[in-house]
Amino acid sequence: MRLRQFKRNGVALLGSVIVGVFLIGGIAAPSITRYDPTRMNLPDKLMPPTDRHLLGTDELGRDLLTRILYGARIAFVTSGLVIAIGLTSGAAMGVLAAWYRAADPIVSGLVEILMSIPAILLALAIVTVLGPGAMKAAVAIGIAACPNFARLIRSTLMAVKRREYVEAARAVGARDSRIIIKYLIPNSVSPIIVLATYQMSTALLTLATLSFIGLGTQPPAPDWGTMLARGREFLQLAPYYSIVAGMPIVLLVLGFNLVGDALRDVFDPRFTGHDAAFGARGGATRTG
Amino acid sequence: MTRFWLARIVRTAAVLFGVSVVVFAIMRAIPGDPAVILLGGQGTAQDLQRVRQSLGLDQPVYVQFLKWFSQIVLGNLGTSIFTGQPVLTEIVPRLWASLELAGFGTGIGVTIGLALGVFAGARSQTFFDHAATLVAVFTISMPAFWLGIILIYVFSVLLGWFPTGGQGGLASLVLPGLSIATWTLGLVTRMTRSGVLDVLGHEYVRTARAKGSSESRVMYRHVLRNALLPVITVLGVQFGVVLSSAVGVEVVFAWPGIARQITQAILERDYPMIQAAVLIIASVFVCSNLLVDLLVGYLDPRIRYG
Repeated sequence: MRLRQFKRNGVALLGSVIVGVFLIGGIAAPSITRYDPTRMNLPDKLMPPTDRHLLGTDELGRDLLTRILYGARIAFVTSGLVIAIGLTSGAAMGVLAAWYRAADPIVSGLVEILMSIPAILLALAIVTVLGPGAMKAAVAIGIAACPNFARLIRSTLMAVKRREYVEAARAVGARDSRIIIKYLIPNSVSPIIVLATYQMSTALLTLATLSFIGLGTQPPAPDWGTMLARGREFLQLAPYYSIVAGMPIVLLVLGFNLVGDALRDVFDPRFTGHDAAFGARGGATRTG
Repeated sequence: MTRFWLARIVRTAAVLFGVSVVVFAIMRAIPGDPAVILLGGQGTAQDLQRVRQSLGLDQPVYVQFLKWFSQIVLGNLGTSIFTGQPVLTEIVPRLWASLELAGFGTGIGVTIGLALGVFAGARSQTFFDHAATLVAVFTISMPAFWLGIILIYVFSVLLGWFPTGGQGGLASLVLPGLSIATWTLGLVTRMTRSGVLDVLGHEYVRTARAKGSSESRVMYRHVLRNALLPVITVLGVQFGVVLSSAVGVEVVFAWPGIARQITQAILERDYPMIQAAVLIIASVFVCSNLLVDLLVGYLDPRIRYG
């Protein structure tokens, strides 16, 4: 039923299509383009869009469209890693806090302290420890994102825990693990999915920022953020370079934001369904 | 009610302490000998010995932490490896520069966002509403530094209206300020719009209209003031996102701010600088959250007595 509601939402459709296009583009990159994303071709450097190079070339003669397509792989893998780390560690903390009353003040205190440090700052501090690199940046941002998940999972679980069916299950003697698996998790999933979607877009932006300043993906890997950094150096000579390098970031982040908006409206029980995309809860749950 | 303020302040102090513990732990997690790290790899054996003693490296970790913490509280945040100057002298002017940029950008973002949000909410479902919402969601999807680069190209390189970077005068503030403003603009537009929509359905609005109040009076007295509250609440979260945008924007515009300072310090491995900057920014964040909470508590009595 909810899936139908989601499909009927035009905005959700647009967002999903955007994300899908990038996903397929990344996976099928070798079939779509015959160029090598990292091989230099200096005679062709800094060419504007032509019929041979649909989006132009970079300072080493590499086709920009190719680099964008292969860059989609990096984008999905790194942001996926961010969410995976944030979600699992956040879930571990959230479950601990919600289920074991003794652990709650400790975990909640830790979460509050971590949330008092702006996420980008925490990520930068962790990158200082780990060193630069695509995966290390992803780990750092993932750790910085974990308190968001922890807080949401804890409050969702605590709300579900109080429901009657949980009480009933306990009354007939069901084991804790059974209650968690059969009741708590299925009913807590929806807000987590919404948060994860929004966090994908935040992760992409933060990853792009870190790569832009040189602490994320290292050259010659075709990362959108590093491409943007290089493009900036040639702004007067080749302005299309910067525009082209930034567009995929904007579009993919937009895609995830639209999907997140639609999911949030679909899962919100207080909603009548009309005007679903531009709903009554306008703010996104961003990391601080 | 004073108990509310007091409790909040005590909690903030505890959080600040916790933040210092976390920063200490992270900096100690850096692989290598802390004494060598602190000296940046350039020190005689005597220097190393001196630093080791001052850090108390032979003593248990909590003693090391207390020594470090007492130094921090006294205002000694260390010396930069790169410049040899106390880090505070480097950080404070840059902090002001960042605050100037952030304040300007947030101000623009909030002002335009409020206006757009109110108009969109009041004219819900019209073309203007859809256009405004589209603009809003687009601006929160954009990396601020990308917009900055484009603005530089159009308004600096092509038109020559504004300088390409650096800090100096109002003209240099415009382009970076606009870049920083975008995320705030998008968020505030969305929140204001939904707040306005939410409030417009409430009974007191219908009552005011039935009473015969003019539409603008209805909007101002009832709708705006109530829709404003969630916006103020979200301003606390804003800080983190503005900082995130600032990292890229300050680099693009060569703005001498704290975000750029941290970036350079990490690339230069200037650990005392990194540590101090992280600590200071986090503390500013915590205190601004406290101020926002107190402000909201003052404006919304439900929170104080609730």
